[in-house]
Formats: sequence, C-alpha cells, structure tokens
Amino acid sequence: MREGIEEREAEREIRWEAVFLGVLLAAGAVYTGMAFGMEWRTPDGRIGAGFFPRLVGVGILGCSAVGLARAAVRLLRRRSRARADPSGQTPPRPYLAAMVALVGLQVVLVATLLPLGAVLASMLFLVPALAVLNPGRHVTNLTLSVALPVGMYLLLQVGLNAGLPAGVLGG
Amino acid sequence: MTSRLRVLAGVVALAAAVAACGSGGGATSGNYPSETLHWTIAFGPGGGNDIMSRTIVDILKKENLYPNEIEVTNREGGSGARGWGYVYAHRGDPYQISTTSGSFLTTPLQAGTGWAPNDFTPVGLFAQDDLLFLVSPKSGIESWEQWVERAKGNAKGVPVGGIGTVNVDFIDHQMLADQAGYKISYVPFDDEGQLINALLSGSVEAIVSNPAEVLGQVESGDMVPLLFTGKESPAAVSDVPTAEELGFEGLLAMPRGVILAPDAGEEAQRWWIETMRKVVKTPAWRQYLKENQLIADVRWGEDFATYIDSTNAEFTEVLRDQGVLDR
Amino acid sequence: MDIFDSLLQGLGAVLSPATLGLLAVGVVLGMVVGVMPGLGPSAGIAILLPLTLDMDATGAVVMLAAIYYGAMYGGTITSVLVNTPGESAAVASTFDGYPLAKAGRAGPALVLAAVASFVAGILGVVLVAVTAPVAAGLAASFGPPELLLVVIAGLLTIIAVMGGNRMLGALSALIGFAIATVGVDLDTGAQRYTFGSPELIDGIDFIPVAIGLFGVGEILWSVWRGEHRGPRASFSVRAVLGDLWPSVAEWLEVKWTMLRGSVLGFVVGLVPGAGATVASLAAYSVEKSVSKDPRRFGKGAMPGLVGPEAANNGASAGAMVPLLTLGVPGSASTAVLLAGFLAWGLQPGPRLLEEHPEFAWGLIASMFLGNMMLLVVNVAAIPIFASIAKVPLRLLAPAIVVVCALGAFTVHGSIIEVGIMLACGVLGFYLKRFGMSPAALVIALVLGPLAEKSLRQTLIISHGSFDIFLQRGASQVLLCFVAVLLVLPVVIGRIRAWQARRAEPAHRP
Repeated sequence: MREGIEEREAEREIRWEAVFLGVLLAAGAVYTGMAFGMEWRTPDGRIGAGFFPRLVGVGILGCSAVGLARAAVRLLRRRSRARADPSGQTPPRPYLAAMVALVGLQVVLVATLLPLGAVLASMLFLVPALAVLNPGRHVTNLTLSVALPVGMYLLLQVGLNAGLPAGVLGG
Repeated sequence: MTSRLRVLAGVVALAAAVAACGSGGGATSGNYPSETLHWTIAFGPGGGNDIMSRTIVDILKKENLYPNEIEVTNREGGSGARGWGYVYAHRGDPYQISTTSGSFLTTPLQAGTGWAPNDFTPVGLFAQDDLLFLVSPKSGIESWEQWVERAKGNAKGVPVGGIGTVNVDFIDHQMLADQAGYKISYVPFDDEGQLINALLSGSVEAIVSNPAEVLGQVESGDMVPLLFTGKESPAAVSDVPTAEELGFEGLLAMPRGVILAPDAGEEAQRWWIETMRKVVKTPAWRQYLKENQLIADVRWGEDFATYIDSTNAEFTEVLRDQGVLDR
Repeated sequence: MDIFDSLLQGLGAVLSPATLGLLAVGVVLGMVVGVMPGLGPSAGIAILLPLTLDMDATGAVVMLAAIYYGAMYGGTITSVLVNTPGESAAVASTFDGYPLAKAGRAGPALVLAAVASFVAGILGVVLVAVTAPVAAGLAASFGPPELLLVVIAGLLTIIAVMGGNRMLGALSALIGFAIATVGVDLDTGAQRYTFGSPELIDGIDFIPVAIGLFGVGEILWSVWRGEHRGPRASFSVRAVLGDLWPSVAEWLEVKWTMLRGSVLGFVVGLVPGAGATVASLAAYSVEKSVSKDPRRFGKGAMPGLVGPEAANNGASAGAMVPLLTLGVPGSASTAVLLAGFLAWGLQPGPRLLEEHPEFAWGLIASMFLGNMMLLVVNVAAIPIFASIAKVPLRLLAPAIVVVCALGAFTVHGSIIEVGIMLACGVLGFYLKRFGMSPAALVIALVLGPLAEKSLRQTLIISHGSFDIFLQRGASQVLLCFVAVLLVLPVVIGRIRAWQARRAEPAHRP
C-alpha cells in the first residue's frame, strides 16, 4: 500500500515536471523567435546581436524538448505499473497551500511597497504570513511583525540612509 | 559637508514631501525659491555626474546661494533613463533639478525613454567632456602624422577602442579616421578599466578617453596622447595639439550642464541662470574644472537648448550613417 | 626591504587612535551591510561612500577598505546561513556553505570561512607588497582575448555544480545565458528583450536574481516540503556552543585548500573585470577535482566553502594591484574606490604609489589591520549569528522574505528589481523541485555577458581569426590553464580508480 502512495507521488512529480518543462519550451520558443528577428552577422561581418540569443534559444528548445520527452516516457511506464496496483490511496500532499499563500503575499508586498512604504507593507506581509506558517501564536507573531519592519527601517534608512520607500508614513 | 547634507535630507524628508505636494504652482508666485530643492543625480555615487552634482550643491550651500534645504538623491538605472525620467515626470515643478552628461543625449536614442533632451527646461552648459586620443608607447608613435601613416598601413582596419557604440567615442574615432583617410575596426568597451587595459596589453592600438581618467598613465609615460578633441588642450597636456589645429572639424563632445523639469517656468529658469552664473565664478568650481581637466564652455538658457538640439542632430545623423541606429 | 619599510610606514600612518577608530567603525558598518541579503561589498561601498567624502584621503580610504572587507565577511555569513549571496563572488560560498549549515555545522563553517578569508587576506596583502611590480606587468597583459579565456575557466564550474542530470543542468545554465542577453547590445546598440522599457536597457542585475533563486527559492522549497511543521524535517541548525569550533579533522582537511584558494584568488584577481567571481568559482572546481570524495561536494564539503572564500578574499587583494599600479579598477568595488580617489583629488594611475606613498601604503596597511580586526569580530559574533539558524523556519521564512525584499530594493531603489526577485524565487523553487541547478543558472548569468562581450571584442580585434589566442603570450598561458581545468578532474578520477583497483586484490582472501 505504501508503495502505491510513493508511486503516485512520483507520478505527480513527473507530471508537474512535464508541465514546467512545457512552460520552458513555450518561453524558449518565444525567446528563439525574437532571436531570429535579430541579425546573425552585422553588415561588415561581425558577430551580430542575434548570434548568441539564437544559439541559446535553440539550446533551450532542444534541452526542454528532450526533457519533456523523457518525462513522458517515464510517466507512461509508471502508469502501466500503477494500474497493476489498484490499492491506491491519496498520497500525502506537500504544503502547497502554505507555499502558494507565501507567494501571493509576496505579490501583495511588491505591489504595496511603494504606495504604503517599507514599514507598513512589511507589516501587511508579515501578519498574514505568520498566521499561515505559525498559527495560534498571536503574541510572538505580532511582536515579530512590528519589530522586524521597524528594526529594518532604523537600520537601513536611519542608520545607513540607504533609501527605503517612505510611502504614506513619509508623506 | 555632503554627508551632513544627506543626513539632513533624510531628517527633513517628511517636511519636504509634504511641501512638494503643493509645489506645482510655485513658479508664478513671485517668491522663488521658497521650498526644498530636489536634486536628482541620474547615476550612482562616485561617478562623474555624481561628483559634479555634489560639487555644485556644496558650492550652493557654502555660498548660501540657495535659501532652503537641498535634497540630493541618486536615482541610477537604465543609463540615466530612470533619474531623468523621474525629473521629467515632475512637469511644471520648479524644484526638480538635475545635471546632464553624455547619456542625456544617447540614452533616448537607444531606448523608449518617453522623453527627449529638449523636453526639459534648460539652465546652462558649463563644460564639455572632450576626449584625448592615446596610443601605447610600445608602438613608438609620437605624433599624429606617424599614427595616420601607421593606421593607413592596415587595410583591414586598425583596432581602436572607446566606451560604447552609441556614444561620442565611436563617433569621434570614425570622424577622425574618415577625415584622415584610414580605416578602423572599432572595439566597444563598457568599462574604463578594461578599455585602458586593452591599450596597455596591446589588444587595441589607440583609444579615446576623458583626460581626467588617463592623466596618471599619461604622466607616467604609459600612454602617449596625440590629439585633443576640444577647443584648447587642458593644462596637464598643453603641448598636445587640438583636432582643430590638425585640420579636423565637426568633432562632437558631451555636454555637462544643469536642467530643470519640463515647464518649470520662466521665473525659476531665470533664477537658476543668475545663480549658476555665480557658481561658475567661484574658486571651488574652477578647482573642480582643473582637477577633472575640463575646459569651461558656458552657454545659458536658450543657447544651451540650441546647443543640445544641434549636437543631438549631428549625433543622430552620424550614427545613422554608420548604420548603428535604425536602419 | 624597501617594500617592508613602506608597509611599516603605512602601518605607522594607520596606527593612530583616530584611524584605528575609523577602521573599527568601518569594519562593523561593513559587516552590518554585508549581512543584509543582497548587499555586498560594492553596494556597501556605494551606500557608505558619501559618509567618507568629507574626510581626508587617508582616513577615507582606511574606512572604505574596512567597509569593503567587513561587507565581504558579512556576506559570507548570509551565504552560509540563509543561502543568499550578496555579490557574484559569494555565489560559490553557498554551494557547500548552506548544506553545511543545514547539517548542523553552521558554527564550524563560519569559523573556517572567516579563518580562510583572514589567511587569504593577509597572504594577499603580502603578495601585493612583494610582487606589485611584477604583478602589475602581469595585470597589464590582460586584454579582451585573455579575459575571454579567464571567463571560460569560470564557466567550466557549471560542470562541477550542475548535479546528476547533465541535461537539466545544461538547461539551467542556458536559462541563465538567456536572462543575461536582456539589455542593449554593447557592440551594435540593438535592444534585446527590453520590450522598449528603459528599466531593462542596462540588463537584469545579478543581485535580485540571486536573492530570488537562492534565498526566496529555498524558503518556498522548505515551506512546500512542510519543514515549518517541525517533525517532518528540521531546518533548524543545532548550533550548540560545543559545536562552534571545527574539529581537528576539518582543520586538517582544509589547510592546503586555504593556500590554494588564496594564491589562485590573488592571480585571477589581477584580471580586470572578472577577478573575484571567476576566482571563487574556479577554486570550487579545483577543490572538487582534487578532492578524494568529490561526491560530497554540494552536500556540505568543507573545502567547497573554504576554497571559494579564500579565493574571494585573495582576489580582492589581487584587484588592488591594477588599481594602485595601473590606475585600472579590477572590480565593481575597486571602481567605486577609484571614483572616490578622484573625489578626494588623488590622481589614480601608475604614479600613485610614488606620489602618495602614505596613501597607497595606508590602504594596504589598513587591509592588513582590517582583516585582523574582522577575524576577531567574526569569531566573537559567530555564536550570535549561528543562533539565527536555530530560529524555527515558521518564524524565519517570513522574516527572510521581508529582509530580502527590502535588501533588493535598497540596491538601486527599484521596485522592478523586487518583482524580479519574487519571480526568480518561484523559478528557483521549481528548479530545485525538478533537480535543476540554480547555481549553474547564476554562473551563466554573471559570466555569460562577459563571455559574449570579450569574444566579440576579440574577434573585432583579430578580424574574425582565432589565431589571436596563439599569438599572445598571456593567452597561451591561459589556454594551458583552461586545458588543465578541463582535464584535471578526468585525470584525477582515473588515477583514483586505478589506485582503488590496485588496492582491491590485497583485500581479497
């Protein structure tokens, strides 16, 4: 039974690997397409702006296509084996939700950094991020959410004058 | 002085920012300047543009020429596109000021910056960045004539170096070669150190550079200057002939000057022309010119604008002829 | 003899209470900046340069040298503890430094890294003092063809780090090369992949990409695997005090590594443009190929951290040679220093040493003293930093993200770079998940543009002919060096296999 779970977990990984390589293949195709719009050689015979991008682009296309094909072969082999073992249970899910939440909150952080300023935007990121990763410990979470942004502000802005966005607090 | 200024600038940031909100109408109120000045440096700390800006700000402070606070900020990125773009975005604000350098002309030619050099309110040109033409002592060449003779011997094109391609370095190399009748293979660099090393290591046969950056090598005899593109050679290399003396014409140079945000208003423009006239007469400014081997070339207001336009036009034309710009 | 007199004079000039104070302040400030993810020596010097502009030249240069070294030592701490290099030269330190921290050896790793930096720093200063005239001649022989060969030597490291799946490793490097082509093409002035945006015409900076791929990517990877939930896996590093000092075996393992790294670093550091980065990467390849057990590399091999650290510091000493003797800045940090020289009214160039000996030797002497101070400060501070590694991931992860984001913002004050950091964080997560190599990507990103640029410059100079590499003395030597780097792992592998085969029959009954 345990083998069945691992089998499915591995299968899921290969599937996602194939999706990722597919995305790279598509991005590589766009990149290569643009590279062929640049010149291979300049009129006076020098290496042109498109020389390296074309080599790199073709390389990306080749590598991701081969990777995709290999992933597909592995997937088909596993499929046939997985069918032979019908005792399937749902494999343990990795902490996808927590990770996605962290990425989403980072998008918010980037979007609010300028309008709200470094201190407020960081707090706005830390409060929910800590609530997801460290649930229930309200005092710790709140302390860190306030102390870290203020500390960074004091260090970078006041101490080093390094130029953080002031946002609404700075006017 | 400068550090205190920066700290001060940080302390007054809040007050300044509040003040900036209502600054758009300041141009017509008749009591310019009454607010904090926002000085944008479109490059990082330590570069030529940074040093010039900080020199001017120092003089303004020491001579009490600007009655309020001055907030100096480095906004580097995109070869100046970001800093000047910031000033451009403050159209009509007479408290947004910046200094120009070569990239002020070249960057808009390369990328969609959304602004052109003549969008800004011109204050004045103080100096030009002229170039020194240098060869290695190992070549045995001591005069421009010897250089031309040697260069003509290389039918494939003699390798010469400079900074960038969409840049005055390339244009001046090309103009000199065309007028003297030899052929070049121009090697672009993006770093002064590697350019100097390319000459020292015998990879290229000649380079052009701003005098201040190679003075040490010239004095020690590691580089031989053959020609200066400006009107008169700087004191340290006064025996070097100018391009004009050797019969060349139309060589270009990059403007070092001061600009205000677009539509900053006549009052602010006039105030700054008057003030900068005082700045360029101070000993501190003369000292700056001397240290950086710059030759003063002063043009105010509309003269400066005309100068920018004509330089820009020539510049674009030469680069088009060379096939560097579209095409 | 002369040289040591001058060095003593320089030390004398630096040994006043006031300058020692500046040195101490600079060391601490530098470390603070360097510990910020994303901020390394060149950013540190750029941020703090304005503080020094109203000091006298000697005082200012003492402080800047202190900041420079402080930031390098500080950067090591972040590379090891949170997998985030502050500059390209620190990338190689993450390859084995971070696995060591994860394996509970954060304390010993940091101590040995500090000792390696110290040894290389001191050795470097001595080499600067003793070999400056010869080294200057060597540095002056590096033009574009030589730079290309040096960069190729650095690129070979990709092979050492790409991991088991060669094809995916190559794909990672190709992505790095692709990102590196963004920006205005130096030679033709054509725009590549900028989509007309002025923000992109200077290309994509290394720092946000590295913070994202390494720092943020690692956080996402750890969270995805549930390491914040405690039992399933533990991110927390047991940096108990008893574990702070390296074991005797660890000291012995790295004694030659330090020397190799220092000398390699110094020599490669002479090359303007690529010095410290290539030096630290090449040191990593060399250590991996001479190691008895190369499979441990990337999983926490002490020489894999010590070699690059020594090379990095050795290179920063090497970079001073072209700066002081030729007036040629060899690295981003020395370029900022050079600009500072001009601001203080000093004319950089070959005559700096003659005309301002107190200044030049003061700089060298303060490098010497700065390294000593840093060793002391570091060893004292390592328990504190190592305790960061004990903070559980569920608290550390969000905190690191905030520190990374603010660090990335401060470098150029650009929000787009923070966005690039985030995107690269997600990319780094997937690279890690599917066995690809963020390290190969970053190496390609840093060295790709240099390789392209110097190849094109070389071919313009030679009118398209490759004979140029055989015609120049310095190129011939470097060609041999590259060949050795390529062949060394194979040869050593063969020898080891042969030895193993010979040893085997003896054990048979």
